[in-house]
Amino acid sequence: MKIVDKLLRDKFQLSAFRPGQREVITSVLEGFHTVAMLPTGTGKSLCYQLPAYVLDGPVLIVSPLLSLMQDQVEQIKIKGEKRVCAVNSFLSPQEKAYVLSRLDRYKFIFLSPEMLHGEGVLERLKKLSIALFVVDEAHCISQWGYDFRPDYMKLGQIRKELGNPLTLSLTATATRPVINDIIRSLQLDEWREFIYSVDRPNIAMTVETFAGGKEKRERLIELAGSLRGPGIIYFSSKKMAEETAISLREKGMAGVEIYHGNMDPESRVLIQQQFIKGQLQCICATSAFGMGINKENVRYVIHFHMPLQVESYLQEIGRAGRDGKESIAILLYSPGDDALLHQLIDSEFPDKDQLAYLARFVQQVPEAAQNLRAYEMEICRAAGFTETQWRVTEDYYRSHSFRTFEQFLRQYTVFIEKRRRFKREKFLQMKAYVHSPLCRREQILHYFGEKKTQKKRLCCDICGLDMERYAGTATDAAVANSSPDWRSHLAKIILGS
Amino acid sequence: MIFWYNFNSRVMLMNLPFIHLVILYCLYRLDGDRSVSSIYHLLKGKKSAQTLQDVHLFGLTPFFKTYESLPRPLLMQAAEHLAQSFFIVESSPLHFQVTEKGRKQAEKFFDDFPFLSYLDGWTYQKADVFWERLTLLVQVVSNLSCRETQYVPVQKNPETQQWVKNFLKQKSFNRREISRGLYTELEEGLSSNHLVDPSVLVLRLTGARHIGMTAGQAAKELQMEETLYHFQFLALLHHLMKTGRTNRRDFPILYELAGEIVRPCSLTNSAKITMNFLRKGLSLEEVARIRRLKINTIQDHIVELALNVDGFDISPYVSEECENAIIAAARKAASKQLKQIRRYAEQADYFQIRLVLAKYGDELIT
Ligand SMILES: [Zn+2]
Repeated sequence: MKIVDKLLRDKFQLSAFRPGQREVITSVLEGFHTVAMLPTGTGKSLCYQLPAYVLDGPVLIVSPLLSLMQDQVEQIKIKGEKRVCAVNSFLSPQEKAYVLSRLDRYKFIFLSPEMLHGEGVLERLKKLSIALFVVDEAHCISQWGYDFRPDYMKLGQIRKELGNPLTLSLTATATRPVINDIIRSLQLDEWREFIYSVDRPNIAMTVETFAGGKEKRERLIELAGSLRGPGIIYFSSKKMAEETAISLREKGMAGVEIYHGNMDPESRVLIQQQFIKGQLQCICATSAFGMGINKENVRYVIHFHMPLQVESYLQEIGRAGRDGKESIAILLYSPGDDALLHQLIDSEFPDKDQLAYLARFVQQVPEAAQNLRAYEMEICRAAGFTETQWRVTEDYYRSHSFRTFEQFLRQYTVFIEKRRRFKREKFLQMKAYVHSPLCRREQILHYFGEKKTQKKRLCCDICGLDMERYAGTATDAAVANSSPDWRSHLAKIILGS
Repeated sequence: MIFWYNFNSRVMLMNLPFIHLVILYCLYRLDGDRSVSSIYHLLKGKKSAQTLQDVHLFGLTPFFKTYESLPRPLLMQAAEHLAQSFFIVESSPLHFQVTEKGRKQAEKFFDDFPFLSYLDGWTYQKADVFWERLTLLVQVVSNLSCRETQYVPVQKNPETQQWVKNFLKQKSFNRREISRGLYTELEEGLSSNHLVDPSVLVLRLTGARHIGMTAGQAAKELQMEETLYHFQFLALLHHLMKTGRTNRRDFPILYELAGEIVRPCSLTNSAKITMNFLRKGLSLEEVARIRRLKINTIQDHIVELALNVDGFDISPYVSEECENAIIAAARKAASKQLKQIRRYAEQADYFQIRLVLAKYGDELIT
């Protein structure tokens, strides 16, 4: 038996690789820089976790999203691996110093990109002999990626400083120009590419258009009541998610819950786990839900509001049907949605007034120009920045150099304008998906530069689809069946009897 | 079972969320013109000299830090609602006085809701830590006995995770012993309470095969108004912590869970610094000068010290004669309003009155 198969079975308790995993892992183990695009739901993280146990030395993983990082650290720990750490802004200065002082003891080192600019971090990393340098969510490197992070642009430079370590770049959603950008930015001289189709053949796709919001809401209630679960319904607004969950409950549907980013951490874990363990049927969620949720048998994903770009849509519907069984993705649209979605795009970046407030603040507190981060609270209040607006502003400020603050503002304004235009274009492409008379699958594949190779039986509403196939009340085993007697419930929990 | 729901239906009859009654009660105890923010700070558990003094002088220790997640708008909503129902009147912006109707309501608050006798926010300030440890321990133990090794911990706080790890290591219980012990202690601890439905807590626990409910889900399941649920849950936690702390022999696990977290030193940092100077023999004025703080501020610190430090000597600031006069005045005034007391003890200043009230606390006026 080959070592990779043995590790897969013993270490990860899996019986088979998913498409692409073996190829990517083999390439890495043969010592090639590797650029991989694997569709969502195929377990990208195995591609660096498994080689870690063959290669000598630590694996460094650069990852852009804090919540995703925490989740990956946890997943590794659950498998019994203790030599894992995360260097990110959640750490207090003391914790950070502690972790950095013993960096050589870890097998997995997760790093958020802004940490690479912190003094001392790069120096510490240089002392290690890094076995594998992993860039997760690599599309963030590219200006053409929908989730561009200025910090990521410097990764090529940093790779060089670390002595050109073996590199693995991972993404689930990248168009060809984005992949080219990734390769160029990382300054790879030779590499192997593994680009797998984004197509998930077992997920059927439909779009339904409504004249008004009221009809759309009624249809949603009808769908949620008739589709075979478990399922996820995505909303762009927390309020709509809450209202819908309440109406579904009023209609007598059991096991409906709400999930959004503002919940306390305990409730988040509980709702996620209830869903995974089959205690819930339907989650009404914002896009905060789904990151790192490995549930095999999600049968439907409904979008009450469309995402702002095709990439996000693909990622979100990719949470359905990981077990390979028939599933459906339904997008509901009414023209009234556009206003809300445009507003979402605009509010991602500060507007002119907000920048003027920022400028005024720096005029009054000139020290702030040297270190924006130290004034986060004051600036956010003075300029009315949202969390995202602050992050984008600070990211840009940190990863570019300027002679004067005025120069920063000028460049930043140009940058914002460019990004906004870019995002609006992305949104138009998403809308095109809704309005086009072409096969949905073909459109998605075309977007990622692929061609549809075969005609599928259960493809999309354009090709013709019988919705009855997805109806049914069969659900996960037990939707919350609370025991009336607290003593027996307690015994069941603790003693398992 | 009917008994438990009684609390609930009582609230429903009045059509008031429970938190409104809590706020009314606090306003009533604060006795006079108080801004609603003082209640906000109290429920959030702010450690300012003013809040600490409110807590002790006005007998509000049960409610200290009992609603950390209270959003300010909810508080304002409550005040408005209470005013509309004529329980309170706004005497000046954001300042409220309790009406006769409100007073009657507030006076029977503890009789209406006997479970409040378990509530002791001041002593059990870290009930949240206790809860984190308890739920995680239950989950870990449950998974141990089911021989499950892969699961997502319900508590992410690394300190809590470390604590549970250490606890299990040092106890080196075997699987059966620990799960038996934990079950018995919880069963007995919950049974020894007669005022809250134990389901309030049990529904929230997560085991190997069942994920617990969130607070919102449990409230819905028990058909309880959410803030009433919140306070009952907390009262039950305080009851369990107390059970553990007072009976180590029978509740060794609860004892450890509540462990060193019962009433930490609650002095503000600034007061601690002042205390160090005073201990070196500096006078109030000297401390103020060295620290470049106002005399008033140092006086606040001293009152805080008198409230929190056992055996703190107030004699450098109040003569025995003056102290006695203030005690007599307070009894005569039958009030903790400084203005009222001063009418009967004109030789004393407000600082001295506050100090004496701090020293004697609740025993002065009953
Ligand atoms: Zn099609």
